[in-house]
Amino acid sequence: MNYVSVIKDAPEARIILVRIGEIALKGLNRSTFEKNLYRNLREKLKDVGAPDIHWSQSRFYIVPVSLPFDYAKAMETASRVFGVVSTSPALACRSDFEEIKKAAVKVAGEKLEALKSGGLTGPVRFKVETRRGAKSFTMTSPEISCELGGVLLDTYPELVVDVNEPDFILYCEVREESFLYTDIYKAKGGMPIGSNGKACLLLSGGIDSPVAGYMVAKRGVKICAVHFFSYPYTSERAKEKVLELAKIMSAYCGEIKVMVVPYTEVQLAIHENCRDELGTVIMRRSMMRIAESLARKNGCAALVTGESIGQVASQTMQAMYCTDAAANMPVFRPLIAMDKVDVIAIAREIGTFETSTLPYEDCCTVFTPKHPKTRPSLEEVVAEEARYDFEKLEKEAIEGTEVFTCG
Amino acid sequence: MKIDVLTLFPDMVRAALGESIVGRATDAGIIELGYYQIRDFSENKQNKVDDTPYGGGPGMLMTCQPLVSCHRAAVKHAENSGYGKPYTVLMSPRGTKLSAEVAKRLSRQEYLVVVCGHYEGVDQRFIDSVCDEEISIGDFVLTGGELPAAVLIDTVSRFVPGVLGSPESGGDESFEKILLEYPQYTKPAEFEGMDVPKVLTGGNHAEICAWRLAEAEKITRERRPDLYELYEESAYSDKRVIYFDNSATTRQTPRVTETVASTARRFYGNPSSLTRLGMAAEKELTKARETVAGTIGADRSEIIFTCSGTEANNLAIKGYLRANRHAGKKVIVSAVEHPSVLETAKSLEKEGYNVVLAPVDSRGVVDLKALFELIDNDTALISVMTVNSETGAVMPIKEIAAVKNSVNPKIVLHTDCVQGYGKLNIDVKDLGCDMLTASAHKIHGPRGAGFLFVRRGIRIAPELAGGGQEGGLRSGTENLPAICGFAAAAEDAFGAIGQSFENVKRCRDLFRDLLIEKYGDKIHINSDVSSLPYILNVSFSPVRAEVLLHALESQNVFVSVGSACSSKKKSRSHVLTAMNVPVKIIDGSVRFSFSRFTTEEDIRRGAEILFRCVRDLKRAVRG
Repeated sequence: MNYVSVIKDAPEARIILVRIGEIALKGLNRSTFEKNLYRNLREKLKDVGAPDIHWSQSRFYIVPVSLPFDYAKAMETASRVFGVVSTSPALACRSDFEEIKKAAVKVAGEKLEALKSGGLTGPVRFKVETRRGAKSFTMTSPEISCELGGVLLDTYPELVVDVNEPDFILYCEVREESFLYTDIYKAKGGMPIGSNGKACLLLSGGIDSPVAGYMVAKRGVKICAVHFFSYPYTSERAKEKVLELAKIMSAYCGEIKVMVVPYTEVQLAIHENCRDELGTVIMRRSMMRIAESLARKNGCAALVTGESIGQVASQTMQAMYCTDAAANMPVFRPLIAMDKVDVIAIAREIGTFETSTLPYEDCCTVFTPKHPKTRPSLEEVVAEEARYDFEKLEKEAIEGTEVFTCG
Repeated sequence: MKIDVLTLFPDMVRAALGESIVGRATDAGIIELGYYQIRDFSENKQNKVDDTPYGGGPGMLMTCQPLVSCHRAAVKHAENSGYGKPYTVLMSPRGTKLSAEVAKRLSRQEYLVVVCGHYEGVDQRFIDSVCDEEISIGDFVLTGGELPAAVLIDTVSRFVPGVLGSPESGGDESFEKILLEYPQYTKPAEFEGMDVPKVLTGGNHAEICAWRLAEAEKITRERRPDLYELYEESAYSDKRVIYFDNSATTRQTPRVTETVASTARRFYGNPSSLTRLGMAAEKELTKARETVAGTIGADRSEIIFTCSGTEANNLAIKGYLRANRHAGKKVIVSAVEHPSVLETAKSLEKEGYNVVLAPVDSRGVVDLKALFELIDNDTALISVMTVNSETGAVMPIKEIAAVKNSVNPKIVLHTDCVQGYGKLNIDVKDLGCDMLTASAHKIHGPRGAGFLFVRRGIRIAPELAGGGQEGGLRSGTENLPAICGFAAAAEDAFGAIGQSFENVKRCRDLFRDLLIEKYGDKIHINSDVSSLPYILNVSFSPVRAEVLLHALESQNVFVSVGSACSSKKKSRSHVLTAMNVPVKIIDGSVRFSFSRFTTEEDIRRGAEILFRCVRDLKRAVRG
């Protein structure tokens, strides 16, 4: 792709550098991944002044089209887009050493101000790091660093060079145009959403399932969600809560289609026809069947759940074996070996924790067996399940599904 | 029906009404239309009918004489054919706005005279002496009254029996009368690629009706929210809400809403301001204060407005103790108080107070004997609610006052009267309490207004420091709109207090009887017979209360529960627990709370829906 100037006719421009991670290592598929990431970035930045997004040599440049532009918000938004590894606010200028010097003085000066107002006193230690992508530029990287260091020392008497423990590093990248910056902010990493197909998340409203969805989405998987709704045994607010969770997740995962399945009748049938201690496993199996059917309709290649070994009775290995046997597509459980505290940490980080812990979920214990069997055998579960023909009720539940789009 | 039109341009009206439905009705003699040319009755040489206005101004006015003479002639003529006195209407932009209601009312007249104004207007003396009503067809000005007259006559005649195939006045019991019309289609079934909705060509009458209703509801909700609100409340809408949650909060009456809005608009001055805007606002505040003081036999200086019952309870308890550090270290509150009393009292423990809970008996009423034993010389304050919010149990405040006076008359008695105010006759002197809390939104008033009565001579300390409003006891600019709304609500509540009580009691008794008739002793009624009829607490155990609440809600019946049955956090009603009600019964307990607007029909329909829900939910209960 041809390089398009980010500064246009101006002497300089403030832009945001966006670095991409492992997708730069992809072979012939690289451009597909990059295109995907480009689309996602553009979509997300639509509401942040809809800047231009330039794309060159596995780099993206966010270039404002009009001022004022909310750089902080744009960086925050970009760093939530999966596939982005880090971002930097940078000053761009022509790759002309006089221009580079001017820009370096400006960027270093601003950093110096920020450090001082942050309480730093006395001499400020710094170093310059240069990368020269444009090999046609006559100076080498060490020469550029050395020269720029000298200019800065002349301009700001409080600066001293310290290459081992600097207070800040002035980065200088010389490419078709040059970029000067001092800060690199870490982003979420991962792969661009949509670059790795689509999966269907069983979204309960608890702490775990949004985290599971987030983790799978981070690997570039587009997510849609199924929620099982047992009105009046769970309240209208439980549904609202799930939609709210999907909305929070959508900041990372993109728009999420949430399918709310009216599940009361199936649950009642299980309650009335099957042995109490196997109720939960039979219910999980039924949920898998319904989710799979909805997943296939939506072009999903896998199911995702928030289960983790031994967390509750239905999450023992034996119970999960019984559950999996009801599904004919892979069931991903990204939290399978995680501790609750670690899951909670991620839930807090992505902002779903507060909503997840609102007290509306499974507000009634009517359907929870008093003593669920922790080690059910598949044979006994299948035999117990055969006491009632759930197919009809499950089909009705699927037909009654309400669809919401969150994000 | 006879209609005479008095106009300067009879042909204009005649042209509009000569054909179609009204034309046919005149031909058939159902409507007798007469046209009078006003100019024909002018006694002026040039047949003049207008002149310049006194006091100056643009344009010309119609003079009295031709109008009056014309009117007399028309009436005389009608008399000869046996008609009585006419109802005379002047078409004028400043009149009553024409609506279906107005048209329907006019259609009941036997003889209607419609006068078409013209020019800049009509001499007021004609209007005063001859016209019964002025009618406008909208907020715009036309060149004359002829077109409006034609509009009026057209719409009035639709209500005259026989004019339409089926008269409009007949179909009052259907939703069509309130909702806007659903979309209609006629042949062909496909026009330029646009199809008629399948349901209409399907031939299933029930489906067609359902579709039309849904469409009419949708279009009304979008375009005319005001009509949709009327529809939701109407007797033939299944959207109609049965609200049995009046102890949580009540619906504002239109009078209260109007008072709140008009106070906000008209009295926007700050009552503390020195200007006359401030004074006008202050006067309203004083009026409201006098009104609510009067409802409990207090003086207006004894009322402190707060923004809620909770705030008033806090102010009473903390405020009294802080101002009277030496009064004693013991505080007695009943075990079944509202959290705003219980939690406030508990918070005092940190300050070294000894907070004691007075037990209740199985009816939920404070045990006087036990209370007597708790009172000692170190007791500073007793707080017992007038009516319990979950069961409706009425507390013996008067007796409590007597008991504490027998030990030490200096002990201060506070009563949280939020559930009793506006429902029971209350006189603070007779009751013997020193402080009393009330709240507006439980009696169809607005949220954001409450008051604390503090008997003169009792000192309390303010909770908020500031501008010194409310006698220095409750700083912060007064919420005047809400306070005036409160006063209006209190006036209405106390104005009909006895009648309301009887009505609610009849409803409660009916509900109780229906429940007992249906379930016998299989249900447990937590509210004692002696309770305030505004509240009935019933357990449908083993059905879970919260599940029942949601099931009822899906049928537009609204109730509340004292206990949420979250699987993670058990929060059981402290009131029923204090009454020693077994846990299983508590978990199935639902509170029905009524208002003076509850009707017997609500009760019967509500009970019917309740029975259905309970039956369905019994499918899934743990034995």
